Amino acid sequence: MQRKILIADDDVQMVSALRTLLENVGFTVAVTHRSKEVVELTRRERPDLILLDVLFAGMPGPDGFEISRKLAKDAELRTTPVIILSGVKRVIASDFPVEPDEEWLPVAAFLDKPVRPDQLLKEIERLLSDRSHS
Amino acid sequence: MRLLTKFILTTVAIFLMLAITLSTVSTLWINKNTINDAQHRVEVAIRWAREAFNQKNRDAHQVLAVVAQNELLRDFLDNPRDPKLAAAVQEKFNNFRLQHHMDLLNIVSADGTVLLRTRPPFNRGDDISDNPFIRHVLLNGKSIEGTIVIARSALIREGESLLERAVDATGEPNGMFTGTAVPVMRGGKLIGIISSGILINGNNDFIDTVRDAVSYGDYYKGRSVGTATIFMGDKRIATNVVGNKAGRATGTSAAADVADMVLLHGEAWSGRAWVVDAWYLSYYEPLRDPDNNIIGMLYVGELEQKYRDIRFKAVASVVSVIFVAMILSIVVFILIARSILEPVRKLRDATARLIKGERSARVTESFGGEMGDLTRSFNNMADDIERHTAEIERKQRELAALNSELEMTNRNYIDMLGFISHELKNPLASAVLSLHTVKDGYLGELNDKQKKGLDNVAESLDYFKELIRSYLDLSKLEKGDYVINRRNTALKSAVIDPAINGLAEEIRRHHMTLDIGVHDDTMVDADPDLLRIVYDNLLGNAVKYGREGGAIRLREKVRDGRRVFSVYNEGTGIPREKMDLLFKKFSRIYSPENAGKRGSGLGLYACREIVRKHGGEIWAESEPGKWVEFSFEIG
Repeated sequence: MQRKILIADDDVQMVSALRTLLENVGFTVAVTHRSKEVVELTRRERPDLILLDVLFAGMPGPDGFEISRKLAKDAELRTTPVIILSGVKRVIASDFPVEPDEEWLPVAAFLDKPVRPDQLLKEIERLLSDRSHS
Repeated sequence: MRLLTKFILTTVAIFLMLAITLSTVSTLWINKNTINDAQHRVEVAIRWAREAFNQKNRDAHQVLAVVAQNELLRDFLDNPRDPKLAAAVQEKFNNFRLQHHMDLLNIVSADGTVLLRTRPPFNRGDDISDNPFIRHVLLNGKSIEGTIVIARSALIREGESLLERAVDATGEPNGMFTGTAVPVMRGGKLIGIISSGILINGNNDFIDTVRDAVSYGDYYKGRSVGTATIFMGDKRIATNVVGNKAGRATGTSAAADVADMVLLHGEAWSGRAWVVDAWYLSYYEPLRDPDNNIIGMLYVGELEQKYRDIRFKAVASVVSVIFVAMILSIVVFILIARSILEPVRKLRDATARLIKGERSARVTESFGGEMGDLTRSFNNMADDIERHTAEIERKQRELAALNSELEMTNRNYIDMLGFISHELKNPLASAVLSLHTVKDGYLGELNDKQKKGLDNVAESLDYFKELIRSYLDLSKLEKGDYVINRRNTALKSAVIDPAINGLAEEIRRHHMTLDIGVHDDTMVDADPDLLRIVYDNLLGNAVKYGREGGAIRLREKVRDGRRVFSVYNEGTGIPREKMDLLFKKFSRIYSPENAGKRGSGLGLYACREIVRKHGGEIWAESEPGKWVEFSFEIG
């Protein structure tokens, strides 16, 4: 069966590039540009994995960190692995560590933009195989 | 000590010394002069006393000289046994004697026998030729006057009342007389002698007359200022010195040293003498009889107390005048000193205010002379200071304004840098992903030409990515509010491995060998995100500038007890003269070998900033043409 990946990013080009790659290697893709919709969409679509941006420009709504915390608290959705895909890591004045953390940043991985296809696919495969084993 | 206090103390000391010296000198001078003056007065006084003394005799002598011409007397001398004549003479001469206050008036024959005594009990017929007066007249036929002593045996003949008077007054059985003897002549022949005498013993009238000639009877504090005494031998026989008991001090003796000097050596004695109960400035001189034998002394004295008091008053008035003058001088001097010191005080106050920061502090009063010059100089100086300070402050304000403007500009620049870089990053991210999706064949296999073309695009994007990364790092570092977040970090797994991950493909492409000499368990106390930037840059440089197929080595060493981490690569290295430029912002080392290799010029600058923020240092060593090694240590 085809596995489904939810892409949540405000950058249209980025979403397009990701969709092209992922569909070509055989994933089904769901997309949103609005951070407010991420949790609702996840509940509806039930993706096997979420690629989540951090900063959603120009629109009101939670950032990627908040979304990840909401998902982690949701009993139904908490098992869906989340990969944060963002350029934010080297931008924010990081006087605190920006790393996956159970409380603050409950995600499976943090990938820095720009990312290369093989890097991204490797991480996705790793997380999906972990999940199918568990 | 305050200047004024010093002035006052000095002045008081000087004036006090002056006053004391002046007082001492004037006291000595007054002492000397009053005493000298008094002593001199005493010496004059005794001459007056002597004169008064002698005057009595001269008076008696003149009277007797007239009497000697008396016919009744001559008749009597011719017929001494005529009772009627004797009775007539007796009566007349007795009256005459009483009239002239004489104690004795005797008529003596030419052979020295008493023919008639006018004083009861009228003894006669005895020979008194040994009486010095009589003897003198008998011998020389000339009259004589003076003082003599008549012994008890002879005195009794003159009348017991005289002896009693002498003994009552002085306790002495002898009598001292002053008197005269005058020859009675007829046809050049001595026919008799008439002689008179006054008994001095206890004769107050006599001695008071003498004294009054000296001191006019002045009294001082109940005591007679002037005193006179006649001594017979060393005994006071007539005196107005008052004795210890009430009454005159007759019968007392003179001091032994005085008696010795005057009676034995016949010399005058002068000086202070303790007379009965007080000090007197005294003069003693010998009394001689007509044979020049010393029979007693004449004394006059002036009460010393009077002179002492005069002297004391003089000294007291002089000294008080001096001290009053001194106090006035001190007051005047202090007033002058105050007025002189006034400018100094004003200057001091103004200076203190100036030091406290009151820039407008000036001496507002104007003074004359040097003090005026001084205060004007001070005011000018204060003006200058105020002007310069104002100038400096103005410049400081300008500088501060300029600084904050610069800071703002820099801040804006940094913020803009961060913003732009971030905005560039999103399109870059999708470009990189799309490019590699195509290039790596996810959308179908490409031929070699196509691949080669896309490789060029990939290389440009890599450089683009590096630039953005550098600018982001820089903007983050240069925001002053950045706080480094140090924690215990596994150097290899948390920092080095992720950095190498991003470069692995490039290392492979250039056939380089990577030798990681950092242990898995090496821990550092550092900010892992910042340390990652350091390794990204150092490793990136090693790959970019390293020799094709060369070695890259990562090491940890201990140098001087501190841990040093290094990144080494074989390659062209860095010329010695360019070492200094390495860590400067926007510095790029161009060399023929590196032509075409582009860098942001920010990487090593960021490395140094990060290392320094950790309290450490970074440096480079190189053998040009062979190798270069960057090392750093963190505090």
